[in-house]
Amino acid sequence: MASVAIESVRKQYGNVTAIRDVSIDIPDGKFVCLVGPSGCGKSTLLRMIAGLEEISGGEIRIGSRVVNDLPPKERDIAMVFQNYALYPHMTVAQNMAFSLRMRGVSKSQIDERTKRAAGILNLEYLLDRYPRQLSGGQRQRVAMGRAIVRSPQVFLFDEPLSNLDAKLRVQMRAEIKQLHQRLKTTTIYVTHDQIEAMTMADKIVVMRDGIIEQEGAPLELYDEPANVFVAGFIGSPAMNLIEAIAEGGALLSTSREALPFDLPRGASGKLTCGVRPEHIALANQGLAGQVLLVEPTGLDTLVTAATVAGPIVALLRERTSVAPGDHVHFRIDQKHVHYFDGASGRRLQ
Amino acid sequence: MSIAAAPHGTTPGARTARRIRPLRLRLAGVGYVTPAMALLAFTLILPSLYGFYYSLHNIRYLKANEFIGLENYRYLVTDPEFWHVVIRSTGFTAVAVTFTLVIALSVSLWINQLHGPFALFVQIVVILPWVVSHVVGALLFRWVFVNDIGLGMYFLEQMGIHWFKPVSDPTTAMAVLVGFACWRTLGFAMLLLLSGLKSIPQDLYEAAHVDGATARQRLFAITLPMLKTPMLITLVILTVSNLNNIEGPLIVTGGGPADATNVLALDLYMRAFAKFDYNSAIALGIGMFAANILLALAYTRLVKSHG
Amino acid sequence: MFGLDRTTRILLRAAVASLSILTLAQQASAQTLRMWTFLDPASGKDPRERVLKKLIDQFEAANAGVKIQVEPQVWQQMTDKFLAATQTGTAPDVMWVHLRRVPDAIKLGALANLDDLFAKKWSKEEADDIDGSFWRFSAKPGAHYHITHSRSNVGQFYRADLFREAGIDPKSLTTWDKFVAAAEKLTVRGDNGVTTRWGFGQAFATDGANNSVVFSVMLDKNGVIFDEKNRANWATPAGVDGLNLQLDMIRKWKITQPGAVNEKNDDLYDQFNAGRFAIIRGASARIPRAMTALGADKVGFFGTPSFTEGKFSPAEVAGWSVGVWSGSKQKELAGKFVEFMSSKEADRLWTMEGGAVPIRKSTVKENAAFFADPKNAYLADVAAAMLEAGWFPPDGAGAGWNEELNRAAQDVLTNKTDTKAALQKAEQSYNRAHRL
Ligand SMILES: Nc1ncnc2c1ncn2[C@@H]1O[C@H](COP(=O)(O)OP(=O)(O)OP(=O)(O)O)[C@@H](O)[C@H]1O
Ligand SMILES: [Mg+2]
Repeated sequence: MASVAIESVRKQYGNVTAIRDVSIDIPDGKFVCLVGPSGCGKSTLLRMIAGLEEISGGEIRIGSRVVNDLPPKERDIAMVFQNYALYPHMTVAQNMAFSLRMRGVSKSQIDERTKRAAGILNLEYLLDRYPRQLSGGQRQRVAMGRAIVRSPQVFLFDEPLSNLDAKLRVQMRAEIKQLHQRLKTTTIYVTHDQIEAMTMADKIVVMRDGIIEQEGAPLELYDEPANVFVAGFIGSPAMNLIEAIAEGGALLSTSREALPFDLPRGASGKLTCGVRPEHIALANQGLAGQVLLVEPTGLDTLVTAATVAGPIVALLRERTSVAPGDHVHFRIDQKHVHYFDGASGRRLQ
Repeated sequence: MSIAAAPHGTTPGARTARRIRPLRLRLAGVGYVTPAMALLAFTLILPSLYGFYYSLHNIRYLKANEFIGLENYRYLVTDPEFWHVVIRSTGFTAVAVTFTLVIALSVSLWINQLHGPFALFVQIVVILPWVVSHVVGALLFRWVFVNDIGLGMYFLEQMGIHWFKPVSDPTTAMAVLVGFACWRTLGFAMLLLLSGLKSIPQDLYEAAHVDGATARQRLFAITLPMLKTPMLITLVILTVSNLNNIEGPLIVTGGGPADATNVLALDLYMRAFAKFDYNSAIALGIGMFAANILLALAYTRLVKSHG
Repeated sequence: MFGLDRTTRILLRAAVASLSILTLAQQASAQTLRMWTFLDPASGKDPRERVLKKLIDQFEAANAGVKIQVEPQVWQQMTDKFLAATQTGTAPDVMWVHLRRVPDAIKLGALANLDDLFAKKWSKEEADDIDGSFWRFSAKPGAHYHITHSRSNVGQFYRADLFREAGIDPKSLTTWDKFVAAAEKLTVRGDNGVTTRWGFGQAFATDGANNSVVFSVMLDKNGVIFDEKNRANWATPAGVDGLNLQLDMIRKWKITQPGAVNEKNDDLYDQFNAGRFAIIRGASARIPRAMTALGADKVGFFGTPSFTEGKFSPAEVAGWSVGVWSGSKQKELAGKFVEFMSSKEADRLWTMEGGAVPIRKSTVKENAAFFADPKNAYLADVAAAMLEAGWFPPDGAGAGWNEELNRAAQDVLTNKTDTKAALQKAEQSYNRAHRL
């Protein structure tokens, strides 16, 4: 096992810059998620770590070794691909044994380690099958088996669950997390699903357009998003982001109506106020609105209403009888309002 | 090809759909294939049945006279020269197909990793002989390599080599014939293999890369096994093509010297059009037709298992 | 390029032919005569094609409402196709049959008796004009079945310019001794021992084989190449001598290129045109083409030498025997057209514009000036060689003797097989193929 250090890494495809200047420190044994919208450079970064993509600038270290110029096989990493990339002409056992075979591990060793990995993933009964004879979830598991059989220093996952249905995804998510807890192998996991990231990661790296927007523990990012982008990206349902203007000691909406938010000290001009839906509750007075949509999930209820601040989503823990068209008032928990600079989008303290 | 795709026709849904397809639709299907089947019946099935009928008769002046059963076949298989031709054809086909396959595989592996205009150029160069009419190609080949005043011979003479006359010697004549067969079929074989190569998902190579496979190991563990069906298909097509090709032996080497390049297709031609021995020619024709049918069956089975 | 235009032409014709069978066959009306020939009047590349076009135009003009529909064919397969078509009732009214297959066609009853159609009305003088070995070939009392056009004879093409240069008179080369001596003189070897010109080019490939030297020698010495049952008998002293003579030209006198063992006739014409061969064995029908390539003053023709002073050895004649299909619904009209294509005026055109060997004696007599022209002298030479030593295959002969004899030559050269044994093998192969 090893730590991974990424320092000022850049990636250039001709004159397209996929990664600008990315530095991430991944301590040994940690589970790091790279998240971000499509095209932000997650896969590129991961593939640079794997050695499948040349590094245009900067340095990547695994353990104490600079791996910039090492071929993948010398980096001692294992990778799980989005489409699994199982070898169709090999059985599950052969797929799993492949990397060991390439390394000239003895037959008995191969058998033993394949069996052990299959045991961990409950794949024993599938060992003689071919990939085409497996379900999507089973293939996923074989792909993981192929990665763990070698006990590499680092696991790399590139959206491994995106081809699975929602239920299986939740189940596999848990399995991967348990696996990590058991093996404690440094893991870099790419996803664009922020729930996956929140639930699995020790540390989340939020990327956009080839740069890092913020990195930190999941709850850190949740509680103190560094900018509007992270605030909107992390959390589901997403944070309510309200455009506002600080003027004459008060906060006004873009249509110049008073907003029920405290004005942060020293603020002036345009800003963005952010409130997570769970910090908004129904009340007898406060922000007035007309209900547009009610979405009960059983556990809680999402209420969307039109207000002077624009459409607002509130997450109600208790059951409610409000219906679309009703006039309601919202109380906003002032302690949990986030303020961002209107121009830079940066968090205001 | 995608490993994520469900295997065709094996999902229960598909099976039920087929079972309950309305009769009207099925009739429509029959309607669609009827013209093609009729055309095939007219151009292929009837003539071959007719040919078989003829082969059971004594043919004189192209007329089927008295019924003689399998006499034409008996005559053919007891013809001592015939078996030499069969053995020579088998050898020729085996060698030509092997060479073509190996070269086509190497070239397509090479082209597959080229980029840009050079790759296109190489492809065109290799495919050209296949696009050119085979007769024209054979004449070209003869012109360059065989004829006394041909280009190749001219250069040889310029280099001071006067004794080398490829088609005058049995061994080199066969080599020339094999060379022509390779030259003629290489482009086609390469196209088939190249499309097979292109259909191997790139991430398999990346996975193998990460799994620590060297370039050589990737070739033997991924590329070749994944190319198995395209290679078998190519093998069958090349076998059929070389077995039936007449331009090579007729135009390039003329079957000689001393029968060194006399193969089945040429033998058939000579029996029919030089000796007017239609009796044995038609028996041979039907025999070759049967061999072709077998090869075609092998081909369709391969294609099915691949698709 | 060599033979390329011929090949494309053949392919084109095949395409046209297969189309025309489908479409034109049905359109044929009572006044339409269908004709199969290897000449394509629409192409006009060959001078004979232009003559045919002219004759058709004249005939159509003279016979209002009649249309001659030419369906050009690939010559190698044309005769067999005709024989097959007579059995399915789709044969053309007028047919050009390969001379060698005429006996087959007659035996099959495919050809109508031209005597009944027109020839018995001929005056004695008219009949004499056309009479000769061709007219008598396969004829029976009161029955003639064909008039042979495009007559050709295998013989020696020579480069007149090279002969002049070497001071050799081609007319004097009637014995093999003289022939060999002349060929040795015409063979040019460079200082490095490399031959740049061969005296006598031969080709022993089995595809498209012509009569070889051994063939002529056997006929010269024995008069026949088959026994009374039409079986090949070649392993005779004459056969052995002939094949040895043919091969000694390579082995002993080095006047023939060693590549002959597997070269084809078509190669010979190319080499001849290129000046690499001074003499080649070829079919006289190709002379006009060689003249077009080289100029008329550089090409000549003489018959095959023999072992007797002043006498040619026999060589096979070839030609296209034009006849009427016995199953035609318009035999009278078809006969009329066949007669017209062989009329005096037509023969003049064939000869003087088409470069063909005349089929009527009067054509030679009445156009003395034309034949006196050195450019056209070869026609007389060919006609003379044919007249004196033209060989017609005997009734009931099979096919493929040229191929088998060439195979024997290849066998001796390649495998060092004994000459007699090689001839025996060829003989057996021939007899076996013909179930003899
Ligand atoms: N080979 C390439 N050549 C040029 N540009 C490329 C290449 N590969 C990727 N890019 C560009 O680099 C950027 C980052 O791509 P990358 O695949 O890393 O995105 P991603 O974050 O993984 O997206 P997704 O979530 O859709 O997988 C994109 O703009 C992409 O178009
Ligand atoms: Mg990606």
